[in-house]
Amino acid sequence: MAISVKVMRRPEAGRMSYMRATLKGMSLTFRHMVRPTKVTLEYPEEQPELSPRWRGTHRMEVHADGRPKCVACGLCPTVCPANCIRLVGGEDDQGNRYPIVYEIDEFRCIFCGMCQEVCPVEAIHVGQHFENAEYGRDRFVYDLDRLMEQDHPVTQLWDPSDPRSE
Amino acid sequence: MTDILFILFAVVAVGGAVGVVIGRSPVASLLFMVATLASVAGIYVLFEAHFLAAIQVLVYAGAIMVLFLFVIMLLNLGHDYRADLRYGSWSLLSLVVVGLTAGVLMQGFSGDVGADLLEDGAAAAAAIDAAVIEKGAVGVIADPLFTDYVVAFELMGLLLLVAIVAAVVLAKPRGSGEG
Amino acid sequence: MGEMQELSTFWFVTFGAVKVVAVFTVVMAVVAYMTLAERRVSAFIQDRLGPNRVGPFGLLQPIADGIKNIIKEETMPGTAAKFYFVLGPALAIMPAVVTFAVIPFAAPLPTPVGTVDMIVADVPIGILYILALSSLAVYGIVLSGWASNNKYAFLGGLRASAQMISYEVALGLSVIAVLLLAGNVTLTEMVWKQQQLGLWFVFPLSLAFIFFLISALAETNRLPFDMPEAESELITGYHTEYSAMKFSMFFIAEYAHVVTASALMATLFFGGWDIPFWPGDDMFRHEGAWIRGFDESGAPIPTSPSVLITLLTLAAFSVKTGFFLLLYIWIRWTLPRFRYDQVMHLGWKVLLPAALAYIMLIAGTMLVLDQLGVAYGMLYGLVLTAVSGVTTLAFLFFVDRDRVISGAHRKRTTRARAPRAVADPAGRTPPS
Repeated sequence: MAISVKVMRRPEAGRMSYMRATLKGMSLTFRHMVRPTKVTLEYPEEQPELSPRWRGTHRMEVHADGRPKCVACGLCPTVCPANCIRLVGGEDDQGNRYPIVYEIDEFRCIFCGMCQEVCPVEAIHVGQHFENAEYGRDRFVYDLDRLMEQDHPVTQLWDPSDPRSE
Repeated sequence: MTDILFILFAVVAVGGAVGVVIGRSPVASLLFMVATLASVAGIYVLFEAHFLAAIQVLVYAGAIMVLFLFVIMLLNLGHDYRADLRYGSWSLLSLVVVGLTAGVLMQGFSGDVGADLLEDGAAAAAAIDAAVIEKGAVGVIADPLFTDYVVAFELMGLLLLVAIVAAVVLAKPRGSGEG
Repeated sequence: MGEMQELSTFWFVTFGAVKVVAVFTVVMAVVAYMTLAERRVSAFIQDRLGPNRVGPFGLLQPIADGIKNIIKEETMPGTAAKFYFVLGPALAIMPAVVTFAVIPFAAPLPTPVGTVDMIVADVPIGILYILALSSLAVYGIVLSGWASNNKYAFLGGLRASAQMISYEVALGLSVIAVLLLAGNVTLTEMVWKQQQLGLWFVFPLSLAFIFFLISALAETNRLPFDMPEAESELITGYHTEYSAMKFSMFFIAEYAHVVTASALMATLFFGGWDIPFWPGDDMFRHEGAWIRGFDESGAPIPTSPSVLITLLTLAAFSVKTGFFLLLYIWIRWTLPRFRYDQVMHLGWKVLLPAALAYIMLIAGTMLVLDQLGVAYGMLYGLVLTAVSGVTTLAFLFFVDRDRVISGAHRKRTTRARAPRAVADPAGRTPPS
């Protein structure tokens, strides 16, 4: 059941002027013909304006020396509802934990953004990005290098201009 | 040039006429008939009878034959219509008719009748040319039709009207009364 | 200068061949760009953009479509009647491309070897040639619908034949009013008579123009009369089973018919290549000389063709035809499709008797004017304009507001009410 039903009343016989209706329709279409309301975004040339909270494909933040910020704490694979993150942690000589394997299956990902929310070092982010076309399915499992290469803006978890959303 | 075109049209017309009779399906027969009518119209054009050619195409090929096509397609004559026509008596009858027609035509065009026609034809053609310039291609036919022969013309119209009314009466389902 | 140099046979044939090629090319180009215009204009009407990717503003789109259709794989239903299936598109396109031949598209062009008429074939039967050939157009549609062995295609073909036969009658009758006023059937003479009258025939014959417009829409199977295609009911009707270039041929045929019908409306009712308010372009062949008109004493006023006038009149003709092409598109993307019985009702029970009555009226008015000795000119035209204007208003008033053709609601109420009154045990009266 719809929320509300609008009953379309047909005009009674003899009460509707077809001539006037036709002319009205013609003038309406003519107005649009000479001055169309522009609603189409000519996409490849014009880019859409994405919301700051747009959640697209992931991006791994890096330190200035090129190491990933990730400390392989294991929170993101734990929280991920789609179970799309594979993380194998390791430890280097100084005792810093780092990811040996960090893969995200973008096909399984539901772009909920919980990995970003849970990350204690703000390493993994979902990004403002949607142009993900590839030639094969295997290209959609993003490994660590690929995640670090991404350079699109990252998602804000709340709109800074709207404090209520926090 | 005219001779070549005439032979072309004549061959198509006669071939089409034969095709109507021996065509495998009613639709094929009908298209042969259209081809015949169209080539006859072409022959009319060669005789400079443009109006007659246009009416031939407009009325016969364009309207009547389309109605035939309509009926043939709707009736779906898929069954034994052919058997009806393949009886020996029918072939015999058609042979007799063709023979008689051919005989009459041979009789008509034998001897010096043709030369007579040609001589008269030249004079008639000149008269027609003069009339066409004066009255236009349509006026030449319309003028006598609506003055000298107006009674015959109107009677023809009445006859057609009677035929239409008769067809409506026949087509009406029996006993339905006021429907 | 008024003397006319006739073309020798050699030049007549040469120019004839050039005109055939040129007119065919132009018509095909207009058809191609008509498809683009249709898509762009419909897009604008619906606040979209339409095809704008191929070339600047999408101008190369028709070429891309053509290439696509030629190299595309064709399909043929296994149960189709193969010969007729192939014959259908050919029969559909043939009448569409030849009908333009008798439409004059500009004032005569002077050349060093004589004056060339800007018309492919000035046959003495003019408009009858167009009517005759366009009546053949239905064969392609019916045959292809039948040969496809598909019930939707077949229904489309049947609808096409019924509709085209019905509206041919109304089309012919609306043309008869023009013939009465023009006095001849050749289109060159119709243009000349409109120049002589000083008024385009759309004014003295306004109702005939309305009939012609409606019938032409129906004859070309365009919305709101596209019963034979009727996507929502019949998939695409008669060309459901066609693909690639065969489908394209139906498309070309339809648009070529539209172009011819537009040119015909421009010629019959809007003065053809005549430029309004300027008698300088009036030109007609009269007793071996070019004349502009007749002076007070009835003596012909000589004139001479010039290249400039030819070009200007060609432009005038193109503008008029272009307007009707746009009108076709505009109507298509505004009005919804008629119901089939409404189409038949309109054709047989409204247009046919109304057109007949109108012919009687025009003939009667002309007879009275001739008896009164009113000369063929502005006054003659204005009287007819007044008579036609009143008739047109009366006709529009008459067909408006459910008086003749009613929508679905009236039909439904009359059908639903009677049984309900019987079946209702409570004896309540149905709401009125």
